Amino acid sequence: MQLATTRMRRGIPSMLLYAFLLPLFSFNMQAGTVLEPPQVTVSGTVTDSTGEPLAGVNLVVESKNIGTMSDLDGSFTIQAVPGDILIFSMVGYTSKSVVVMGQDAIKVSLEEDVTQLGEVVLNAGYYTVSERERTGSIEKVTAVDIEKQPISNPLAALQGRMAGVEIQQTSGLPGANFNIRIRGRNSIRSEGNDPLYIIDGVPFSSATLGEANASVSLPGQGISPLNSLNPNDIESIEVLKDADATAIYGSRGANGVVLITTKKGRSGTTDITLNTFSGMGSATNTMELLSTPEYLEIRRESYANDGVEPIPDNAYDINGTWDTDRYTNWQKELFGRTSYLTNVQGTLSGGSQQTQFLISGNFNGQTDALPGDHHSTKVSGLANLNHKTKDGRFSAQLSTNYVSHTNDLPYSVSLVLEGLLTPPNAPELLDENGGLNWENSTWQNPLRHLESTYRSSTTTFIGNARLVYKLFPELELIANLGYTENHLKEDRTELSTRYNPAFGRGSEFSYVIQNMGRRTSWIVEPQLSWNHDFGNTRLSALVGASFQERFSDRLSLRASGFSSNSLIGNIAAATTLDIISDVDRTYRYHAIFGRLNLNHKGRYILNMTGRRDGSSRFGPDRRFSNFGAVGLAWIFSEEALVRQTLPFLSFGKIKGSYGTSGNDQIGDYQYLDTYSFGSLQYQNGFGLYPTRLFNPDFSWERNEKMELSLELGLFGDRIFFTGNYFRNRSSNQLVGIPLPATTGFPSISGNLAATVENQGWELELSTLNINTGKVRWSTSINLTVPKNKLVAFPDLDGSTYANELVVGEPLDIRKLYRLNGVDPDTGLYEFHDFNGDGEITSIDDRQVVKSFSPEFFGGINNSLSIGKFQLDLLFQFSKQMGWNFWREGSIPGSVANQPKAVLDRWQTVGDMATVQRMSLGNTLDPLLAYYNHRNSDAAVSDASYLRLKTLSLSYTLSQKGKSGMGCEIYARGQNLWTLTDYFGLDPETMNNQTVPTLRVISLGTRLTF
Amino acid sequence: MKKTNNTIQNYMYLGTFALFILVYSSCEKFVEVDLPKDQITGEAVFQDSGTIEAALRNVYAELRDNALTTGESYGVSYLMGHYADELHLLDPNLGSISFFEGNNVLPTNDFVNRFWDRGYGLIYAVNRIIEGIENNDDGLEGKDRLLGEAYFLRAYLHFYLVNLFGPIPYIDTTDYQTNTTVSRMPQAVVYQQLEEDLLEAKALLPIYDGPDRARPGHWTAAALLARTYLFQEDWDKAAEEAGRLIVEGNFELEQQVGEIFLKGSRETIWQLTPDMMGGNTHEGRTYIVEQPLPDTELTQGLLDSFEAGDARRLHWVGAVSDGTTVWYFPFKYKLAAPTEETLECSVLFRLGELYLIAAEAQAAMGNVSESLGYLNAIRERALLPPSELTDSAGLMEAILRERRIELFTEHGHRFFDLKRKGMATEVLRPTKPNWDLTDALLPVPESELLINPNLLPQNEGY
Repeated sequence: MQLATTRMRRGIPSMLLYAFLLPLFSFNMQAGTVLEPPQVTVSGTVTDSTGEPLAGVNLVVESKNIGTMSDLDGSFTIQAVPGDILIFSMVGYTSKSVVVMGQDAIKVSLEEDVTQLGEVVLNAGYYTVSERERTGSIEKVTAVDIEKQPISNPLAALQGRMAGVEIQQTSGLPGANFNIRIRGRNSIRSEGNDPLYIIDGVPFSSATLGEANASVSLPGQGISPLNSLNPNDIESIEVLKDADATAIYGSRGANGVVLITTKKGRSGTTDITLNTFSGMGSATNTMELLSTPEYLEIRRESYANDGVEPIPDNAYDINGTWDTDRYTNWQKELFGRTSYLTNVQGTLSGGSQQTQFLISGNFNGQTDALPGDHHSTKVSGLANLNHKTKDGRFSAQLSTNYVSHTNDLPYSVSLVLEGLLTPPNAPELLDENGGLNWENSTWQNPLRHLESTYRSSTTTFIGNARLVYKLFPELELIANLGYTENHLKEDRTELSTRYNPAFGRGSEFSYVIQNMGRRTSWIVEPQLSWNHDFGNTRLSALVGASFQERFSDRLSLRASGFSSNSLIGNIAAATTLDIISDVDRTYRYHAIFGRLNLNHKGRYILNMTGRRDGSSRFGPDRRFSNFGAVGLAWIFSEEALVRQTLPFLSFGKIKGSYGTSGNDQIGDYQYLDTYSFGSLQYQNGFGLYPTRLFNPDFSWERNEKMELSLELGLFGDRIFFTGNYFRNRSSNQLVGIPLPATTGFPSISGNLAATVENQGWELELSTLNINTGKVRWSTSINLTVPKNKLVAFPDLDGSTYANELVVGEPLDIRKLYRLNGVDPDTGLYEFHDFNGDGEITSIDDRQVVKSFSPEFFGGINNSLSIGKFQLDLLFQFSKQMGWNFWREGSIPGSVANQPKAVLDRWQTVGDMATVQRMSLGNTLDPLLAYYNHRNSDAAVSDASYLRLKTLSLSYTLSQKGKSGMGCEIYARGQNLWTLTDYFGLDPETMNNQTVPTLRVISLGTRLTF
Repeated sequence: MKKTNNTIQNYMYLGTFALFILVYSSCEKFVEVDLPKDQITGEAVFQDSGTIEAALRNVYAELRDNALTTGESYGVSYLMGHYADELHLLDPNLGSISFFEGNNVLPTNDFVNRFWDRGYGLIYAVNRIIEGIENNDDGLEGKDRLLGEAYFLRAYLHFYLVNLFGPIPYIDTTDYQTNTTVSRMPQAVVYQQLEEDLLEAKALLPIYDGPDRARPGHWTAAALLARTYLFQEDWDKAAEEAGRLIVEGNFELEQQVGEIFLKGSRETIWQLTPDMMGGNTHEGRTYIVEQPLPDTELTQGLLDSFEAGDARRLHWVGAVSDGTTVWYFPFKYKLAAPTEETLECSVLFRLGELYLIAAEAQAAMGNVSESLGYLNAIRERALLPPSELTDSAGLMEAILRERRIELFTEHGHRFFDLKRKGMATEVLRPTKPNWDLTDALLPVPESELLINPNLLPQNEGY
């Protein structure tokens, strides 16, 4: 310690900015200078293999702490002594060392690094590991790929790029959620399957702060907090999949871990990058619906079928009240508008060997495909600062990220469904004055939904500091500190103008629901890391602790009784204010974790990780639990025998891992015996009700993961193959254990001896097809064949899950009637009577099991560069089943448009048809048959698709290194083309009640100064 | 020298690690958190009368809005009105209600589950209150009344369950392990426990004359007791209990038929007040039809059973027309929308029923003149001529007819009457082809039988 303090005293203050940001460290640690032999000035140039000058190449005098960097023209000068070794290095190039022999001009040319396998460093959360020597399963996507997509949610960037990671967009509306499943669904509770998100070392809650009464516009859980990240600020996203990688996250690693790292400055020249793109988007698909004559025909037929004569006065669509010659493409009108997208990103980065910084700002504006004027506006800023003392003993990494996002949407989700169902000859939307046309009260104008609006404003702050101090050469003390703050304000405004004015409803029918949510969290993680080389064996050890607290509170109000609609913007003008909810939640979490890694001869690697976790979500006796994993890897290509006999094998590794991780996503305070304040009032007072049957004894869900994998590199890794087999079993399922209602509650939270298994194969192949100086073409393919299975569930038949789950089947199944076809005599759908009782009844006759879990999914990525052109094509595919259009909609023959498929309908006795006879929906038999049809296997069909997810073409006009300004222009497309047989709007969302994913085309430029 | 350095370094390593471990131990307390502001512990609730009041308030609000006696379309009044011969469903889209109307209720029916689940859910809440109060020895303020209300509510909830489902478990503990394996009890045993609770409640409850008669009091317990005796044909006790209430109770028959369901009616024994100032009843919202087409209408049979000149036909039956067809709807409650001040509340017990209980019990015992006295009090205020029947069988029939009119669409009275008189099949079969003898009981929810086989067998016919 004596040595260290002396050095500190000798430190000189430097870097004003740094001092400003971190006043704690008013000193600077710097290496001492020792007597040196006389120095000479060495200068020279660095180029790439084609002779182009390389700027920003790191240049270090080996064994000394002196370094510099090459300039724009590749030139450098440095002080050295003859005999010194200069090391030139740069990301993407093979390092080179040159001995100073007294020559005054050194010319160095660096080779591009083709394989980079050894250099690719993966972030494993608490530690980093090289791609080559990893024992765990970690997938990585970097900025290069993320930036090629005009997206606003970072999860979109992972789609189709990672084996074992299934991602689905839930809607084409801005701000919508993405469903992510890493190696399948582990928990029976549908809400307990999210991975753990860590942004720059800080856990980030993906749970919405929304209020159910306010945020219905978006499917799933309302607005996604992950939208509050700017994809352009992300350097890399790593997904941890297996036990070896996730066990160190213990109780929260069961569903995988997503590590997001923001961009950091690099030493070298100061760069200003200005990246702008704008684009247009529209729905990827619309359905083929009936034309007006076809529609009128089936409507008239249904009156005849139901024996209703004459056509009544209220059959406006066919009795002449509406123009029977009109035709409107309602899909185009109601969700087929063009959305616009603008993104401007400015980045300033640079730094010296010791200090690097990056500051960026981003504006992202989007409109949606719905009619009306809706904007999603996101403004974000990122500031990162890294500093290392000259002697390398102390380093600090600071990052702050701020995002403000405002999103306007209509409140109702019905516009899309009405786009599908509105009769093709329905009247004009607007009257001659531009107001809503109610056509003498003969219809419900779909645009009335625009009178109900939803606006969310989110602000997110993420701050992180990582401080590392080398106590001894091999021992580092690390502190990871983080703070996040998340605010959400939602306003749902329902104006009385959404009603037909004929009803005379005034502002007393208007109301506002306002929700204000806030979440703050902090984390402190002290760690010690020790690395030691025993000669043949390298040892890395890490121990650490984690303290976390997350606090959230939410206040939701309903304001009504406005004397005029014009006052509705201010809830102070409301005469009635009701509090919907006023809640707060505290979650605390504590852990001790460790890692021990042994690497023998760079061939045999053993990695052990463990964690002891405690969470406030469990009862006093059940708070703590232990998790751990072992990973083993053997790089057999390093064995002499293999090298001799299989010379074409450039890399070969077998690895395996086994371990446990857990899941505590059950909500806070579930173990407590409490009463809650109800929303029901009696005699001017609120009620208190028992919150739950309490069970102080429930504990973690346990996930046991096993993986075996093989990695092969052939011909200098130009062909690289990875194959994984995994089997995860999630037991001790945290569920509501079903109870008879005589206990007062349907269930009690507890651990059930139910087991869910996910197993599967993940195959990845990447090839470098062509690599000449000018042309480079590489391909990577990934394929996942997952299998999800409920292995055990005691007393399933008696539980509330009886209609949802079947032992031996996946979790995502539906139990359905079996459609036998249309009875040629009655013209009605006929279903198989499984229990033979002569009636079609739930549950007994819903015996057909259809799984919605994908059979396989993956992606194919091609990257081609020819000179200054760069072309990237990413296809994504999934083989799966899903609800089709028959699940939604309205009974064929009623006042609703239908898909063309209804034309093959039953008309007279003896007809063999696929659709039952047209009916108005007022007679019981056709109606029951229709409802059963919605719940039959006919409503589920193939939803497989192959989609050109991303197409990116860019052209480099000039490079900064040569002309002082780099300029790249590019065109990018998202979801440009889809191959599918899906009967419905979009096989990805599988939801006909929301906007399908958008096809987006954008153009942009990227300037670097 | 080098060796010494190494040793020192090793000690330092060890020391640092030791310090590190030390910091971590004793951190277990860190994961303890305080309660959130919207929840309080069960223990704290029963320390204070105010919070016990709040726990009871929630039960009343549930009875009004969600559970068995609610005036919503999932309450006993509406559903059993369709199940019997009071209401006729017009909207075929209301599929699950059509199963009630068609007497095709399945053990998986949502409404059946709702009756059962919400019923037992509230029984749990009431049992918590009883246990909580009884375990508190600190002399709670108003302890007797709170406990009395809880006992009354336990009996009241079981009363509906036993009449809908037949043999049921009578739940008097909060222990979920016990309640998971309970068996069904014969109806007589259920009634016996119910009576014990009511006697306890009657003894504990004060005579309630508070604002709006929003809480059950001594006389409410007596009224339910009278009804319970009547249902068991314990005529003597039914007559005594009802008679005492009529004479000693602080109620009187409201003479204007149109005013019986107003908030201030002197006839009301217990009613549920709305959830907000100026709110009125769910019944009003459910039944009143402002423009065609209504979801449901009164059956022709019920309309036909009104005698000419019955004031109740005029005041309690509403009509709506599209020009060609007229639909009739229950109009006992006149307000569908909020008013400046609350004018109507959902009445659960009123004196009119007690008159008819007394009339029936007296008739059954052969006391024709006493019976006629009660019956004619009801008939007279409906502006009908007094009944002059002399034989008790004819009188019983007249009383049943009177109950049909007086109590229509009020909490399943009609259906329960048909059942206890053994007349359901005879009366309902002609208009309801699907009616079977076994339809007198609803099925126990299938999920219950699956989780707790002790509840087997299912009611016959399901």
